Amino acid sequence: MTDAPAIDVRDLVVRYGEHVALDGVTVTASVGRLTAVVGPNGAGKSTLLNAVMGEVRADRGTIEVFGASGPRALRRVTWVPQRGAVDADFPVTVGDVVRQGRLRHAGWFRRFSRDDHEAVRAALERTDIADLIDRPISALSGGQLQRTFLARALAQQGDLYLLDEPFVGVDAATERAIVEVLRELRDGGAAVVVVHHDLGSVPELFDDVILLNRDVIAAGPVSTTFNEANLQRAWGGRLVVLREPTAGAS
Amino acid sequence: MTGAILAERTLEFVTFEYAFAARALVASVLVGALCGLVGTFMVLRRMSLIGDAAGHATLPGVVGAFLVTGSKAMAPLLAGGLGTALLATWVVERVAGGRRTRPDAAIAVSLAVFFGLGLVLLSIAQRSPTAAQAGLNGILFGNAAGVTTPQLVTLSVIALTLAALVLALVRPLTVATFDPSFARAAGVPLHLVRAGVTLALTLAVVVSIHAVGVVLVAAMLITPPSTALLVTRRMPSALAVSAGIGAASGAVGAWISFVVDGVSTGPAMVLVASAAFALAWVFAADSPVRLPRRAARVTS
Amino acid sequence: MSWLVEPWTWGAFMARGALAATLVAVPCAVLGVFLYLRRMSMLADALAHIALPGIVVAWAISGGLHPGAMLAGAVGVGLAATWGIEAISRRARVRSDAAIGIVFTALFAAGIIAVSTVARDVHIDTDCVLFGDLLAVSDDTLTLLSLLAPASLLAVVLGWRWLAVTSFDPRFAAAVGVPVVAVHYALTTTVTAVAVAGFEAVGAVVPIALLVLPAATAHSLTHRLTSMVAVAVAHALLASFGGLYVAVWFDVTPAGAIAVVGGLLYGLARIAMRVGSHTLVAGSTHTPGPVDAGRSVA
Repeated sequence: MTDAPAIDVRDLVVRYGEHVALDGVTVTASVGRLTAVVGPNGAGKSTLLNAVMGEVRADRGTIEVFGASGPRALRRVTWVPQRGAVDADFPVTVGDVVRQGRLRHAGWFRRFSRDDHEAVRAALERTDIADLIDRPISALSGGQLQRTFLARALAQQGDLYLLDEPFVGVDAATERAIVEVLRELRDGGAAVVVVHHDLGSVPELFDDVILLNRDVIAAGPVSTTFNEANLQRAWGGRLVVLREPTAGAS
Repeated sequence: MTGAILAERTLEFVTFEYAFAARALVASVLVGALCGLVGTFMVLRRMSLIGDAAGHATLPGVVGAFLVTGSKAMAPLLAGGLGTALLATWVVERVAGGRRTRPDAAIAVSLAVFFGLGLVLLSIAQRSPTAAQAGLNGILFGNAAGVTTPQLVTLSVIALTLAALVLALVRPLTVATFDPSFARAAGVPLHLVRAGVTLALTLAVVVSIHAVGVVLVAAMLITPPSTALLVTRRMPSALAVSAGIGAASGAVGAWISFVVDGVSTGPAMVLVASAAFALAWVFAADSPVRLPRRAARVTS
Repeated sequence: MSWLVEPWTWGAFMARGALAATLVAVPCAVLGVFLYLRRMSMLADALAHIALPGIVVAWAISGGLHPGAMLAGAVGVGLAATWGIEAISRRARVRSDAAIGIVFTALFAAGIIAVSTVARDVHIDTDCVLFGDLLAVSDDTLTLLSLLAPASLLAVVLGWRWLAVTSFDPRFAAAVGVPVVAVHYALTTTVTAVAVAGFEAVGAVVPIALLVLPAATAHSLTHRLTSMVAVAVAHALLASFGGLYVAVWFDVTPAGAIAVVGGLLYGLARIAMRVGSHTLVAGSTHTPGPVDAGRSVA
């Protein structure tokens, strides 16, 4: 089981009514790697993550997480939502949200143990929001909210982290903080898969890349896979590549 | 109405001089608390008005049961009301789930059709001798004073059971409402939770129609929770405050209904709850109304 | 087929009832299409209920139920409620759907209390609130409806472009100078006015059916705005006359019957579309390819 890839998707087809969002996707994601999922709008990036999470039903194909499928497999998966997806008006504090990350360890009805509180504290410190622990999430900035969900993910101590566009609309300091945390997670042996919107930063941030446009255009290490030819194929020839005048490869 | 009469009647009310008034008080308090508790989840899910649809949809079930059994015994009426209310919420889910009708329209469609059916049945019921169906009118706008002891016992049992369940399950309910994807990944059986909340909502609506009435029960599901959300910042206290405000509205509403001729408990309760909301809206933190005291304070 | 013709011979009430129903249902259907498209169907729920306090205000102003007073009451309460809902939901932590529920239930409760205490002498009782009295509409109501229905339809025709653009893209509309807020208030106030005018005919709650069911049915059957309005009007007429026949032959309340028939028509439309689309899909072969990044995806 330890040899199984973190995500193993085969021939995945997902339809919304008549619209085919994913058309026979076969791809894997490995532990110890930071993987970016990129593609144009409507390419099915979020759908892929949703399918792994069991949020959408697959019409065909299989999905395995660490060699297992079904709800049990998700026990090792940590999900960091798009910022806009959650109701920021909800009556919870930062601490409440991060504590949610311990629910799988503590169970739904027992009190949180000392270990749980310790994990929460450590996660808050790691994301630099320890002083916000009692603040209601409605009073947070965009970057602080993103860090809160990241802290929740850290507190979960999972093996596979799925993040849906975590860098959208966050300030530079938060972006750096997120990158550092993701790298630490990867170095600690987790698999980190990120739906990413900013092509320019892919080479510097990620180890592997999946170029998606309803089907996998190309997948593999950034150094060999993230090139102009593949990008143009993924964007259907509609991509404009701007090169920095003095830098080398894009 | 003079002050003297007001004082005299209030005294009668608080000393439980009349059994029916005492029952009305207990019923109203329980209904207010229960609706406040259950309604909080619907308000947080931005599905406030499903309570409106469920409330209106009890009418055909209740009247239908009356027509079929010929009596106003509690059990068949409750069962009938529960059945059609559940059916109505199912219709909302089905209609909204299809891609051709907007979700908000789904609620309105279900509400309108079920209530229309209820009106049709009510017009049939009204052909029977007045005494038999007079009680049915109490269901429309609430008549807590007409609650019998067996009905009160049923209400208490259901209210306390639901409250206990909500309290026991507060963590999964909170997370499922706040972040369904996360909850599902954490092992919460979302469809069960959703079904459970819908069932709790419908039960709350059905046992509340005696006191508040079909048309206004939505108010007790929406207004006290909205007030609580203005005043509290965390979930457990939101539930407690919502139930408390609901209970208080019920109590004051029952008093008003007793003291003033011609006022049903339903509208009275709703007005009190609305007043509480208005106060919270003006005076709670982050209010858009600038009050002299607060001008000097820096809001976070 | 004598059952179709016979009721008309029983007395003028059938014709008067049909006229009143038509004069309420058709404007509601047309206005309802725009409410539906603007995702304001629940506001339709609220506005229908608000007919009651509108009547109460009318009575308070004029001591009776003269058409002019009813209109003034409707407009006043409609504006106040719309403004109230907007104002309340602007505050953080108040959700917009909750705001609708809070405002209309408070107003409705106040109206009920007024009707059962202060306004007890007036010819409104709770039965009237619920059922209306379609088969015994007064001349006052018919007069008011005869003026209001064409007026509201004319307003829709004149304001068609504005209504259309604000329904589809309010931000764009604002950018090109359309008075978006005024259109919103005009729409809601007109709806309340029609609901108030039709109060005596169909009661306070059934207008929801008249506002939403035609629009929902139309949306199931067609995409285009003009077709939607046409289908909605057709639905309204079918439901009104159908409901009237049911009411007259089965001795049930016409208001409720109209709502039920409207619901049946909606159900039929949904079923028809489901069957129709299956036939379509079965007949086509679908070969998906990569998404063209230049096109927007639904």
